[in-house]
Amino acid sequence: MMYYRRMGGSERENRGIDVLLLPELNTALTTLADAVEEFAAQESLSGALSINLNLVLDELITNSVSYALTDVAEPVLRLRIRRDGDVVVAGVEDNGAAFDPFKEAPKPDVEQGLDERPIGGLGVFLVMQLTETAHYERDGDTNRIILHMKMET
Amino acid sequence: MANQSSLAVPSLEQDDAVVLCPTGRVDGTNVTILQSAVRERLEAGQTNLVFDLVDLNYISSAGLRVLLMAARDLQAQGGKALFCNLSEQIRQVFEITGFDKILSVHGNREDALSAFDPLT
Repeated sequence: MMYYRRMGGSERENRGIDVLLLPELNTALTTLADAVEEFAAQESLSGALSINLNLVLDELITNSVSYALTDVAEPVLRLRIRRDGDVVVAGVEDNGAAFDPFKEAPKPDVEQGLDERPIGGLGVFLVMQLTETAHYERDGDTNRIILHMKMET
Repeated sequence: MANQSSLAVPSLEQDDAVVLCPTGRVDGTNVTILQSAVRERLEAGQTNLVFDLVDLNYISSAGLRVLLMAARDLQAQGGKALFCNLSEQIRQVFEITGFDKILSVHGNREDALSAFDPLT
């Protein structure tokens, strides 16, 4: 499995998560769940924050695997999670075509009724609602999404 | 490594309705399991379904889409989808997405089942 931890630095610096994910949904989401579980244990995250962290990263990774990386010859999908004070900083990077989900993905109208509601668009919306900030940048051939989530104090 | 994405959908028939209890986690890797469980009941003409979510620990937008489609399909067949026993996480995503307004959400299974028959 393409799953490794970058080595080096002191033990303190090794806290946090930095992994390459295999761009296959089942493996990627299982690795994500394990990574979030490990990070939650490191930083004693609440159950609610762990679940929400898993959820927002699930949505982004699912989009990368299902759309961004499908036509990429050598796909790269990287997940990083670290703590900065009372904030969890999480990043997802892929080398798919440039796409800013926060600008380009359709926004659902949450007031629409059962019959009118379109089926898509919920994932990115959940990411935006469950995070303090959700930022996109294009860096060379890389899409980078950086999320900030507040830890309960 | 734990199989984090495991999902089972045990079901039982109760008071002229079918209760489905998705158990575990539902995400993009296993939504078809939930989809098939609903389709099986639809094809058998059973259109009053209760989704008892007491043992569902996690749901992503992929799972939400299946619940929305199920509610729509059942309504189109003259039936109903009711939801009960939402965990804190699931209640939160229902609220954020407005699902709590478009889906029929009840506190527990008894409340949900009695909602099928207003005279009981």
